[in-house]
This record gives sequence, structure tokens and C-alpha cells, in this order.
Amino acid sequence: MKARLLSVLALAVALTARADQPVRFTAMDVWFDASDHKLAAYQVEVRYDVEHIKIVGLEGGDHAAFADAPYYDRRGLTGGRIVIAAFSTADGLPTGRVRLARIHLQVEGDVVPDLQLRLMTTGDAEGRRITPGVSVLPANTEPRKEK
Amino acid sequence: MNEHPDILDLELFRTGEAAEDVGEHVLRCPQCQAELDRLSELSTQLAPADVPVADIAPAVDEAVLAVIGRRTSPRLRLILTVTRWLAPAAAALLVLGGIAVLWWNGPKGTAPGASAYAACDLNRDGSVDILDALAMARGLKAGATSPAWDVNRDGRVDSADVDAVARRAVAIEQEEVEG
Repeated sequence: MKARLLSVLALAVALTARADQPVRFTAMDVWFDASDHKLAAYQVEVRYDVEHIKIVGLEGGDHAAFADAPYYDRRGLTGGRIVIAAFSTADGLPTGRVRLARIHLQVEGDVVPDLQLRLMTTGDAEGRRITPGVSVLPANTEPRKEK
Repeated sequence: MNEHPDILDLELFRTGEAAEDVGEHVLRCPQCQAELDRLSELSTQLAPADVPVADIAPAVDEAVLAVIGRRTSPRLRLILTVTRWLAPAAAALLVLGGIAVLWWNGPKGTAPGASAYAACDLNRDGSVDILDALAMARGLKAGATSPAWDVNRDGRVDSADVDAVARRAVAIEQEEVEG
């Protein structure tokens, strides 16, 4: 159902895109590295080039506790700034490096999508603030392991 | 109190509304106690009577009150005056209080106001973010609740309120969209 909705949305956006600009679809993944902490909630701000990029969908991540799509405001899909957030009260929470969200983009023109990510807050299973590493990478790209 | 209380004070004593000095006098005065017994008997005899009360014209009401005022002590006159204005004043206060509560909470079914979300700053860090939604969800899971958590004003505290807090956390302000 989600995939179908995403396809319809992507098609609708594609039909309204300017004909003189090459349009392509791509996705970016949001990764966290909570080390030994159990990550229970995150909230990040994503800024993007509103002239060339539209967000056409949001998905959850790899871990079962964050499999559902994150919370977001639809007004952020085309405005150049969006806040995405999710939480989980599941018993099993992710630790270490984990992909928790995927952002689907429509990119107009010959530009490399560049998303600026800002960590707003994250919390562990007891609701305490933690400061994990966070990064955004092209979909299906594993972050490099630190030596 | 050395003088005997008048009949109105005795009636107030009988109904438990008299001043303390009246009560002290009655308890050590056989004459007043006898008068009190007669009042109680009269009250008992009148109780079963189902006498319809006709409407009293305001002018008659005023005249009766004036006579009572001349024949009673200043303290009782004060009680009667206060009683006379107490009911309308209390009613006015209730109406004003109700208006204030409605203004403060807003009507049911509308979007929650800032005050509703301020109550959801559960971790008291000055902002409503996803950690507040997490705290509320953890609280609900543990069986805790608070009327202040009814963010969507549907009369229940449940996961829909947690969703409302989370959506607030990610909200993009309208000015930002227009700007």
C-alpha cells in the first residue's frame, strides 16, 4: 500500500515537472550511530535546494522498531526544510550503526542532491538525551566503518 | 451576650446559622431554650403544610425587608443584605467562570492551542519535541496518565494524543512556508 501510494505521488510530481529539465528520482538514507546506547527516538532537520529538489516520499528504516515511516509535515515536502522524527517504545531497540529513514527525492536538472542534516534531539530507552553520530548518504550506501 | 436574643436569632440558632455568642447564651438560658422548643414545635407543625406560595410584588418584598431591617440587629440586617445579593453575585461569578474556562481551553474538536502543547512539554526543556512524545508513550505504556495529556481534546488520553505531540514536534510553521 505504501509503495503504491509512493508510486502514485511520484508519478503525479513527475507529470507536473518542467519539461525542459531532466528529472530523475533518487533516495537518500539517514543513518545513526548510537554506539552502545539503545536509540528510542530521533528528530532531525533536513534542508535541501528547493529550486531543484522535492521530497516525494519518506520511509522507515531497517530496524523493526523504526520500520514505520517517520513523522513529518507535508508542508516540508517542497519548502526546502523538513523535520522528520520517530520514536519507539519497543523492547528491542537499535544500537550501533543503523539506517532509520529513507528520503525519496525528485531532482530536476543536472545536480547532485545535497541534503544538510541537523540533529535536533535523540533519546535512549529511558528518555535521556544522547548524541549519536548522524549522516545522510545515497540509498544503498553503507557508511564507512571507523577504524 | 447578656440580653436574650430575638426570635430571628433563635430561629437562626435552630437552623444552625446563628453566631457563636447566641449559641452560648441559649445553652445556659432556660427561658431561651423554652422559646426554642416552641419554635421547633411550630416548625414541625408547619412542615407538612403544602401551601402554595404566590408571587410577591417587588414593592411588598421591599416593604417587608424594611420592617425586618428596623426590628432586627445590625448583624442580622447585614446577613439579610448579603444573602439577598449573594445568589445573583454567585450566578454572575459562575457565568464569568464558565466563559473564562471556555476561553482558556477552546471548544472541543478544534486544533489544540499553544497552552495544550505547553502542557505536553513533559521533560520541561522548554520545547515540545519527539522526546515528549516518547515520554508520553512510555507513560501510557506504564499505565500513567494525566488530564493535561489530552492534547486533541477528545476526552481520552491515548495514542492519538501521542501522535498529536509528535506531529507538533515536526510541524513546519505557516510563515515559514509562505516566506
